[in-house]
Amino acid sequence: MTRLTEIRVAEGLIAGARRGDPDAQAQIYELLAPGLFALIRRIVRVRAVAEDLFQDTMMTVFEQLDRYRGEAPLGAWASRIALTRSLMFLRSPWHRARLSFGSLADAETILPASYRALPAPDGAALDIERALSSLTPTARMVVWLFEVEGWSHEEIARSFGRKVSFSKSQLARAHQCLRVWFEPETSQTCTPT
Amino acid sequence: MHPNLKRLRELADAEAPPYGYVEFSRRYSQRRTRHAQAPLRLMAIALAVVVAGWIMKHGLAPMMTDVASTSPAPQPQSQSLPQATAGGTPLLTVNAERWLNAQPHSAIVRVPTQMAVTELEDQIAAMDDQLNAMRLAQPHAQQVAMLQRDRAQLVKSLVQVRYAQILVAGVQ
Repeated sequence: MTRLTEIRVAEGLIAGARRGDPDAQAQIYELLAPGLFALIRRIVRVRAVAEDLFQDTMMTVFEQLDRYRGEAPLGAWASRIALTRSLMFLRSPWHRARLSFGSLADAETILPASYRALPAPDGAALDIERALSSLTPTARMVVWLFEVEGWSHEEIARSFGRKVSFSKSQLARAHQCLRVWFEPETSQTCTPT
Repeated sequence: MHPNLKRLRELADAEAPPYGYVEFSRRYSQRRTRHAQAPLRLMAIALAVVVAGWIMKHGLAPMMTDVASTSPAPQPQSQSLPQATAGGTPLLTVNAERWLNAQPHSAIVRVPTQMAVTELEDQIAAMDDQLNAMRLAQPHAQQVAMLQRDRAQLVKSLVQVRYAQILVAGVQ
Protein backbone atom coordinates (compact mmCIF):
# COMPACT_ATOMS: atom_id res chain seq x y z
CA MET A 1 0.00 0.00 0.00
CA THR A 2 1.26 3.49 -0.84
CA ARG A 3 2.54 5.44 2.14
CA LEU A 4 0.62 8.57 3.09
CA THR A 5 3.42 10.94 2.11
CA GLU A 6 3.58 9.37 -1.32
CA ILE A 7 -0.13 9.50 -2.16
CA ARG A 8 -0.64 11.51 -5.29
CA VAL A 9 -4.06 12.54 -6.51
CA ALA A 10 -5.04 13.35 -10.07
CA GLU A 11 -5.31 17.06 -10.81
CA GLY A 12 -8.86 16.61 -12.10
CA LEU A 13 -9.95 15.08 -8.83
CA ILE A 14 -8.41 17.95 -6.87
CA ALA A 15 -10.09 20.48 -9.14
CA GLY A 16 -13.43 18.74 -8.58
CA ALA A 17 -12.95 18.75 -4.80
CA ARG A 18 -12.06 22.44 -4.95
CA ARG A 19 -15.39 23.08 -6.70
CA GLY A 20 -17.15 21.17 -3.91
CA ASP A 21 -17.98 18.10 -5.99
CA PRO A 22 -19.00 15.46 -3.39
CA ASP A 23 -17.82 12.53 -5.56
CA ALA A 24 -14.32 13.99 -5.92
CA GLN A 25 -14.20 14.80 -2.22
CA ALA A 26 -15.33 11.28 -1.35
CA GLN A 27 -12.56 9.77 -3.48
CA ILE A 28 -9.91 11.99 -1.90
CA TYR A 29 -11.31 11.12 1.51
CA GLU A 30 -11.03 7.41 0.80
CA LEU A 31 -7.43 7.86 -0.31
CA LEU A 32 -6.21 10.02 2.57
CA ALA A 33 -8.34 9.02 5.56
CA PRO A 34 -6.60 5.72 6.54
CA GLY A 35 -3.12 7.25 6.48
CA LEU A 36 -4.14 10.44 8.23
CA PHE A 37 -6.03 8.62 10.96
CA ALA A 38 -3.08 6.24 11.53
CA LEU A 39 -0.72 9.19 11.79
CA ILE A 40 -2.91 11.02 14.29
CA ARG A 41 -3.45 7.87 16.32
CA ARG A 42 0.31 7.36 16.45
CA ILE A 43 0.65 10.73 18.20
CA VAL A 44 -2.60 10.97 20.16
CA ARG A 45 -3.54 7.68 21.78
CA VAL A 46 -6.96 8.67 23.09
CA ARG A 47 -9.30 7.53 20.34
CA ALA A 48 -11.99 10.14 20.94
CA VAL A 49 -9.45 12.96 20.72
CA ALA A 50 -7.84 11.37 17.67
CA GLU A 51 -11.25 11.22 15.95
CA ASP A 52 -11.80 14.91 16.67
CA LEU A 53 -8.39 15.79 15.30
CA PHE A 54 -9.00 13.61 12.27
CA GLN A 55 -12.27 15.42 11.56
CA ASP A 56 -10.51 18.77 11.96
CA THR A 57 -7.72 17.67 9.65
CA MET A 58 -10.03 16.45 6.89
CA MET A 59 -12.10 19.64 7.14
CA THR A 60 -8.94 21.74 6.85
CA VAL A 61 -7.75 19.68 3.88
CA PHE A 62 -10.95 20.42 1.94
CA GLU A 63 -11.19 24.03 3.08
CA GLN A 64 -7.58 24.83 2.17
CA LEU A 65 -7.38 22.80 -0.98
CA ASP A 66 -7.19 26.07 -2.92
CA ARG A 67 -3.81 26.72 -1.31
CA TYR A 68 -2.36 23.36 -2.40
CA ARG A 69 0.09 24.13 -5.19
CA GLY A 70 0.94 20.55 -6.12
CA GLU A 71 4.66 20.88 -5.31
CA ALA A 72 4.51 17.79 -3.06
CA PRO A 73 2.17 14.79 -3.13
CA LEU A 74 -1.25 15.61 -1.67
CA GLY A 75 -0.67 12.98 1.04
CA ALA A 76 2.46 14.77 2.24
CA TRP A 77 0.64 18.10 2.27
CA ALA A 78 -2.30 16.60 4.22
CA SER A 79 0.03 14.85 6.67
CA ARG A 80 1.60 18.22 7.45
CA ILE A 81 -1.88 19.51 8.35
CA ALA A 82 -2.51 16.47 10.56
CA LEU A 83 0.82 16.96 12.36
CA THR A 84 0.13 20.65 12.88
CA ARG A 85 -3.32 19.86 14.31
CA SER A 86 -1.85 17.23 16.62
CA LEU A 87 0.87 19.64 17.75
CA MET A 88 -1.75 22.28 18.48
CA PHE A 89 -3.57 19.76 20.62
CA LEU A 90 -0.40 18.77 22.52
CA ARG A 91 0.38 22.44 23.13
CA SER A 92 -3.15 23.32 24.21
CA PRO A 93 -3.62 24.40 27.86
CA TRP A 94 -6.50 21.93 28.13
CA HIS A 95 -4.24 18.99 27.31
CA ARG A 96 -1.46 20.20 29.61
CA ALA A 97 -3.90 20.69 32.48
CA ARG A 98 -5.26 17.18 31.94
CA LEU A 99 -1.76 15.73 32.15
CA SER A 100 -0.89 17.76 35.22
CA PHE A 101 -3.99 16.41 36.94
CA GLY A 102 -2.54 12.98 36.33
CA SER A 103 -5.35 11.69 34.14
CA LEU A 104 -3.34 8.86 32.68
CA ALA A 105 -6.11 6.34 32.89
CA ASP A 106 -6.78 6.73 29.19
CA ALA A 107 -3.44 5.01 28.54
CA GLU A 108 -2.32 7.91 26.45
CA THR A 109 1.14 8.00 27.94
CA ILE A 110 3.01 5.64 30.17
CA LEU A 111 2.11 1.99 29.95
CA PRO A 112 2.31 -0.18 33.05
CA ALA A 113 5.46 -2.24 33.46
CA SER A 114 3.45 -5.47 33.24
CA TYR A 115 2.51 -4.55 29.68
CA ARG A 116 6.12 -5.14 28.66
CA ALA A 117 5.96 -8.74 29.83
CA LEU A 118 3.08 -9.62 27.51
CA PRO A 119 4.03 -11.73 24.50
CA ALA A 120 4.11 -9.90 21.21
CA PRO A 121 1.91 -11.81 18.76
CA ASP A 122 2.94 -9.72 15.78
CA GLY A 123 6.60 -9.68 16.64
CA ALA A 124 8.87 -6.71 16.36
CA ALA A 125 6.36 -4.24 14.91
CA LEU A 126 4.07 -4.56 17.88
CA ASP A 127 7.07 -4.28 20.16
CA ILE A 128 7.93 -0.94 18.63
CA GLU A 129 4.32 0.19 18.94
CA ARG A 130 4.45 -0.67 22.63
CA ALA A 131 7.79 1.04 23.10
CA LEU A 132 6.40 4.20 21.48
CA SER A 133 3.33 4.01 23.68
CA SER A 134 5.55 4.04 26.73
CA LEU A 135 6.69 7.57 25.88
CA THR A 136 4.90 10.77 26.80
CA PRO A 137 2.88 12.31 23.95
CA THR A 138 5.44 15.09 23.50
CA ALA A 139 8.42 12.71 23.42
CA ARG A 140 6.53 10.41 21.06
CA MET A 141 5.79 13.35 18.76
CA VAL A 142 9.43 14.46 18.77
CA VAL A 143 10.66 10.93 18.00
CA TRP A 144 8.13 10.56 15.23
CA LEU A 145 8.85 13.92 13.66
CA PHE A 146 12.62 13.46 13.83
CA GLU A 147 13.00 9.80 13.00
CA VAL A 148 10.13 9.18 10.62
CA GLU A 149 9.02 12.51 9.15
CA GLY A 150 12.59 13.78 8.91
CA TRP A 151 12.03 17.12 10.58
CA SER A 152 15.10 18.95 11.87
CA HIS A 153 15.52 19.96 15.50
CA GLU A 154 14.96 23.57 14.45
CA GLU A 155 11.64 22.72 12.79
CA ILE A 156 10.47 20.68 15.77
CA ALA A 157 11.47 23.39 18.23
CA ARG A 158 9.70 26.03 16.15
CA SER A 159 6.51 24.00 15.92
CA PHE A 160 6.47 23.53 19.70
CA GLY A 161 7.32 27.18 20.29
CA ARG A 162 10.46 26.15 22.20
CA LYS A 163 14.23 26.29 21.82
CA VAL A 164 16.31 23.76 19.88
CA SER A 165 17.62 22.35 23.16
CA PHE A 166 14.05 21.28 23.99
CA SER A 167 13.86 19.07 20.89
CA LYS A 168 17.33 17.63 21.46
CA SER A 169 16.74 16.82 25.12
CA GLN A 170 13.31 15.33 24.40
CA LEU A 171 14.83 13.10 21.73
CA ALA A 172 17.74 12.08 23.95
CA ARG A 173 15.41 11.17 26.83
CA ALA A 174 13.08 9.31 24.48
CA HIS A 175 15.99 7.27 23.11
CA GLN A 176 17.03 6.47 26.65
CA CYS A 177 13.52 5.32 27.52
CA LEU A 178 13.33 3.20 24.39
CA ARG A 179 16.69 1.64 25.22
CA VAL A 180 15.41 0.78 28.68
CA TRP A 181 12.30 -0.65 27.09
CA PHE A 182 14.18 -2.87 24.66
CA GLU A 183 16.99 -3.76 27.05
CA PRO A 184 15.42 -3.96 30.50
CA GLU A 185 18.59 -5.51 31.90
CA THR A 186 20.46 -2.23 31.29
CA SER A 187 21.43 -0.18 34.33
CA GLN A 188 19.97 3.00 32.79
CA THR A 189 16.72 4.45 34.04
CA CYS A 190 13.98 6.18 32.10
CA THR A 191 12.58 9.48 33.37
CA PRO A 192 9.67 10.43 31.17
CA THR A 193 8.97 14.17 30.93
CA MET B 1 19.84 5.16 17.01
CA HIS B 2 18.65 1.81 18.28
CA PRO B 3 18.19 -0.63 15.38
CA ASN B 4 14.54 -1.06 16.30
CA LEU B 5 13.92 2.62 15.67
CA LYS B 6 14.67 2.02 12.00
CA ARG B 7 11.58 -0.10 11.92
CA LEU B 8 9.52 2.91 12.90
CA ARG B 9 9.36 3.88 9.26
CA GLU B 10 8.03 0.48 8.41
CA LEU B 11 5.17 0.61 10.89
CA ALA B 12 1.64 0.32 9.55
CA ASP B 13 0.87 3.50 7.69
CA ALA B 14 -2.89 3.03 7.56
CA GLU B 15 -5.71 2.47 9.98
CA ALA B 16 -9.39 2.18 9.25
CA PRO B 17 -10.85 5.67 9.72
CA PRO B 18 -13.57 6.01 12.35
CA TYR B 19 -16.25 6.71 9.72
CA GLY B 20 -16.79 6.99 6.01
CA TYR B 21 -17.19 10.04 3.80
CA VAL B 22 -20.97 10.26 4.32
CA GLU B 23 -20.60 10.54 8.09
CA PHE B 24 -17.66 12.91 7.70
CA SER B 25 -19.77 15.09 5.44
CA ARG B 26 -22.65 15.12 7.92
CA ARG B 27 -20.33 16.14 10.79
CA TYR B 28 -18.70 18.73 8.55
CA SER B 29 -21.97 20.49 7.79
CA GLN B 30 -22.97 20.21 11.45
CA ARG B 31 -19.79 22.00 12.53
CA ARG B 32 -20.13 24.63 9.84
CA THR B 33 -23.66 25.39 11.02
CA ARG B 34 -22.39 25.62 14.58
CA HIS B 35 -19.63 28.01 13.52
CA ALA B 36 -22.08 30.11 11.53
CA GLN B 37 -24.34 30.40 14.58
CA ALA B 38 -21.50 31.33 16.92
CA PRO B 39 -21.94 35.14 16.60
CA LEU B 40 -25.69 34.78 17.21
CA ARG B 41 -25.05 32.65 20.27
CA LEU B 42 -22.56 35.23 21.60
CA MET B 43 -25.08 38.01 21.08
CA ALA B 44 -27.75 36.03 22.94
CA ILE B 45 -25.37 35.43 25.86
CA ALA B 46 -24.41 39.12 25.98
CA LEU B 47 -28.09 40.09 25.94
CA ALA B 48 -28.89 37.63 28.73
CA VAL B 49 -26.06 39.06 30.84
CA VAL B 50 -27.30 42.62 30.33
CA VAL B 51 -30.89 41.66 31.20
CA ALA B 52 -29.77 39.71 34.27
CA GLY B 53 -27.69 42.67 35.43
CA TRP B 54 -30.60 45.04 34.92
CA ILE B 55 -32.97 42.76 36.85
CA MET B 56 -30.46 42.41 39.70
CA LYS B 57 -30.15 46.17 39.92
CA HIS B 58 -33.76 47.20 39.53
CA GLY B 59 -35.77 44.21 40.65
CA LEU B 60 -38.20 42.09 38.67
CA ALA B 61 -41.08 44.56 38.23
CA PRO B 62 -39.84 48.11 38.21
CA MET B 63 -42.16 50.88 37.08
CA MET B 64 -40.91 53.82 35.15
CA THR B 65 -42.45 57.04 36.40
CA ASP B 66 -41.61 60.61 35.76
CA VAL B 67 -38.73 59.73 33.51
CA ALA B 68 -38.19 63.39 32.78
CA SER B 69 -37.22 63.96 36.38
CA THR B 70 -33.52 63.49 36.60
CA SER B 71 -32.90 65.20 39.92
CA PRO B 72 -30.62 63.18 42.20
CA ALA B 73 -32.07 61.09 44.99
CA PRO B 74 -32.14 62.93 48.32
CA GLN B 75 -29.66 62.00 51.00
CA PRO B 76 -31.83 60.39 53.69
CA GLN B 77 -29.09 60.68 56.30
CA SER B 78 -29.36 64.41 56.27
CA GLN B 79 -33.14 64.36 56.40
CA SER B 80 -34.92 64.17 59.70
CA LEU B 81 -38.29 62.50 59.96
CA PRO B 82 -40.76 65.31 60.67
CA GLN B 83 -42.98 65.19 63.72
CA ALA B 84 -46.31 64.67 62.04
CA THR B 85 -48.77 63.44 64.58
CA ALA B 86 -47.85 64.62 67.98
CA GLY B 87 -51.22 65.53 69.39
CA GLY B 88 -52.99 64.79 66.10
CA THR B 89 -53.84 68.42 65.38
CA PRO B 90 -53.92 69.74 61.81
CA LEU B 91 -51.28 72.33 62.53
CA LEU B 92 -48.79 69.61 63.28
CA THR B 93 -49.16 68.13 59.79
CA VAL B 94 -48.08 71.35 58.11
CA ASN B 95 -44.37 70.56 58.51
CA ALA B 96 -44.91 67.01 57.40
CA GLU B 97 -46.80 68.08 54.29
CA ARG B 98 -44.17 70.70 53.49
CA TRP B 99 -41.50 68.03 53.79
CA LEU B 100 -43.52 65.70 51.58
CA ASN B 101 -43.94 68.35 48.90
CA ALA B 102 -40.24 69.13 48.98
CA GLN B 103 -39.24 65.54 48.14
CA PRO B 104 -38.40 64.94 44.49
CA HIS B 105 -39.93 61.99 42.69
CA SER B 106 -37.49 59.26 41.74
CA ALA B 107 -37.32 58.27 38.08
CA ILE B 108 -37.54 54.57 38.93
CA VAL B 109 -39.74 53.35 41.76
CA ARG B 110 -40.81 49.99 43.13
CA VAL B 111 -44.38 49.10 42.33
CA PRO B 112 -45.50 47.89 45.80
CA THR B 113 -44.12 51.03 47.51
CA GLN B 114 -45.55 53.34 44.91
CA MET B 115 -48.94 51.66 45.25
CA ALA B 116 -48.87 52.25 49.00
CA VAL B 117 -47.97 55.92 48.43
CA THR B 118 -50.80 56.35 45.93
CA GLU B 119 -53.26 54.63 48.23
CA LEU B 120 -52.35 56.92 51.14
CA GLU B 121 -52.50 60.02 48.95
CA ASP B 122 -55.96 58.97 47.74
CA GLN B 123 -57.18 58.44 51.29
CA ILE B 124 -55.81 61.83 52.38
CA ALA B 125 -57.54 63.48 49.40
CA ALA B 126 -60.81 61.72 50.30
CA MET B 127 -60.40 62.90 53.88
CA ASP B 128 -59.86 66.46 52.66
CA ASP B 129 -63.08 66.23 50.64
CA GLN B 130 -64.97 65.06 53.74
CA LEU B 131 -63.51 67.87 55.83
CA ASN B 132 -64.44 70.49 53.22
CA ALA B 133 -67.95 69.08 52.94
CA MET B 134 -68.30 69.11 56.69
CA ARG B 135 -67.11 72.71 56.97
CA LEU B 136 -69.57 73.83 54.30
CA ALA B 137 -72.45 72.10 56.05
CA GLN B 138 -72.93 72.34 59.79
CA PRO B 139 -69.55 71.63 61.25
CA HIS B 140 -69.37 69.62 64.43
CA ALA B 141 -66.14 70.43 66.15
CA GLN B 142 -65.79 66.91 67.54
CA GLN B 143 -66.29 65.21 64.16
CA VAL B 144 -63.94 67.64 62.46
CA ALA B 145 -61.32 66.96 65.11
CA MET B 146 -61.75 63.22 64.62
CA LEU B 147 -61.34 63.52 60.86
CA GLN B 148 -58.34 65.77 61.27
CA ARG B 149 -56.77 63.26 63.66
CA ASP B 150 -57.33 60.46 61.16
CA ARG B 151 -55.91 62.62 58.40
CA ALA B 152 -52.84 63.35 60.50
CA GLN B 153 -52.37 59.61 60.97
CA LEU B 154 -52.52 59.10 57.22
CA VAL B 155 -50.02 61.89 56.63
CA LYS B 156 -47.72 60.29 59.18
CA SER B 157 -47.97 56.97 57.38
CA LEU B 158 -47.33 58.66 54.05
CA VAL B 159 -44.24 60.39 55.45
CA GLN B 160 -42.90 57.07 56.70
CA VAL B 161 -43.44 55.32 53.38
CA ARG B 162 -41.89 58.21 51.42
CA TYR B 163 -38.96 58.30 53.81
CA ALA B 164 -38.40 54.56 53.36
CA GLN B 165 -38.65 55.05 49.60
CA ILE B 166 -35.97 57.75 49.70
CA LEU B 167 -33.76 55.56 51.86
CA VAL B 168 -33.98 52.68 49.40
CA ALA B 169 -33.26 55.00 46.46
CA GLY B 170 -30.20 56.26 48.33
CA VAL B 171 -28.90 52.73 48.89
CA GLN B 172 -29.32 51.82 45.21
